[in-house]
Amino acid sequence: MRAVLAILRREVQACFVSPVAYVFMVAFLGIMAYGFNVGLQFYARMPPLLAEQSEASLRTHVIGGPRGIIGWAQTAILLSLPGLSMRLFSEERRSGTIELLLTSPLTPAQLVAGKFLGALAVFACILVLTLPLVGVVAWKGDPEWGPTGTAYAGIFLFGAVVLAMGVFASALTESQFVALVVTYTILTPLLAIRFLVGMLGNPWDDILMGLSLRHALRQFGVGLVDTHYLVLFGTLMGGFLFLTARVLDSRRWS
Amino acid sequence: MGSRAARRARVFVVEADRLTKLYGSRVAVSEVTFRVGKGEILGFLGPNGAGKTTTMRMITGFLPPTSGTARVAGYDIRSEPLEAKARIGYLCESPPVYREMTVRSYLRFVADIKRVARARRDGLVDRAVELCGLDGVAHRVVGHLSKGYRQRVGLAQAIVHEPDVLILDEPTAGLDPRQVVDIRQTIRGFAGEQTVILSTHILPEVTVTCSRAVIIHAGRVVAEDTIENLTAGVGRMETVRIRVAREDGGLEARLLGVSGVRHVSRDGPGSYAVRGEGGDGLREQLAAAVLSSGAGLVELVRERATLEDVFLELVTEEEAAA
Repeated sequence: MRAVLAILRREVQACFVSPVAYVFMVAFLGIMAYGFNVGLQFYARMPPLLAEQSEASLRTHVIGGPRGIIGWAQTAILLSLPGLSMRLFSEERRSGTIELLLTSPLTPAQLVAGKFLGALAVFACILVLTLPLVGVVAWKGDPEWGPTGTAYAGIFLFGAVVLAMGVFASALTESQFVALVVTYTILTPLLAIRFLVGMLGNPWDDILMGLSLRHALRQFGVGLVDTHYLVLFGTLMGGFLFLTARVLDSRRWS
Repeated sequence: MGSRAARRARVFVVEADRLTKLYGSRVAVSEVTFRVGKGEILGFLGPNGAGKTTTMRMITGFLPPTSGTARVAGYDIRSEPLEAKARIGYLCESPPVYREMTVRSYLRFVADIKRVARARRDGLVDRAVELCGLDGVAHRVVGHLSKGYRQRVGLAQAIVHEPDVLILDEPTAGLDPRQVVDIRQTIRGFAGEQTVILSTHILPEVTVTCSRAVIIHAGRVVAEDTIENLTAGVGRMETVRIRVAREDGGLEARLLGVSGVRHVSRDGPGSYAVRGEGGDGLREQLAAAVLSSGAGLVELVRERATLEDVFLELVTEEEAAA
């Protein structure tokens, strides 16, 4: 456990001294702030009658609604998290420090856990920095805290899945760029799946909908925590982390 | 049986048991077997590409062997990797350092992942810093240090958890002569209590620091003995250096005429290197040949066989046999 914490801590420190990491963090926060502003204007201009018909409060929509920051968070996650995770193992392989890690008394699972939790901690820090946006909503209005909370939980879980894929991709190669490309290659089908819904009819539509990460995130945004999607997120995360440990264990280093 | 196993473990800190590594059909290391006793500094010697690094990587658990195994302090690296790894300090070819960390925080990190008890951690880090001469730079960022200091940091991370055995792969590669002397001195400072395996292709490094050597060539162990025995083993062929006062053209031919002489080379005015076999008799005849030529014998010295001779001889024998 101490070893896992040591790796986690080192990962977070390495991230905060790396200029590349700051670029991705700033990009994330920039997208979120811009999206918040766009959403705010959209909902502010909405005719009062339409607003009344809407089930959830409009102020909550600014966070988790169809035009809320949750949609922008998805974009921000897709653009910045693969950039944060690509470094994790590929940099260790390039610099040779992987030899230190793999000759230390650590199981592959401990190593992967340390790296993944480190990246997740950095992501959590970034999310904390977006909380002032929620603060603005709370200050000027009266958001429903339930859906706001599930929206953030959804963003966090979605980010964790993307990071797990990124950890896996970075264990495959010593090139950060290749790791980045592999991450997007894995992600794209799971996001694009939604566009197929409605083309094949049932039961395919239900199955595809059930696998769509975009749809899952939308559900969280409106306060629906579907165990089905929790299982989807959990399976993807666990699956990719398991594969990462297998890759490290097979140790085909030259 | 149990106590016997325990005793063996106490006597041999590292046992490499028929370690073999194949890459596809290419044999990188073949049936390498050797043992290292407690407190011994073993030289693992071979030309580049002989399989030194591959062997070190198999012992440290970085590479799985194709067959065979290694035991560290009695723990098998294949069946009990965590126990074995906890007892190894390993410095690979390029020091595995994180450039953005300070020396001290890096060593603390290594201590943490090597399972050093928290209460002992800072004390052990201080000890490593002191033993490796890092006092002045402990608070500096590793990436800003010179190559020689980075190598010392690499050495410090290898010893920080007080391992049973220290495995060093080419620890002086790429350093300037002064840094080489420093690192060798540091390694020699470990002698007596610390068991060390030192892999190198530099022969003097072994003569200077090690008590025993394993010589590896093309993935196989071609010799294993103490330095004295290894160098004594090549007694058959020797080099005799002869210096004369006056040169006359015929001396080289006369020397070649002495029975047992294989090769004569003139390396300067009045100076000859004669290679041949025959021991004392050979040198007596050489002296007689020079005296009778009237060249005026000034000096006749037998050169002690160096590891270089051993090495070349073993490697050429091996190639001739193949």
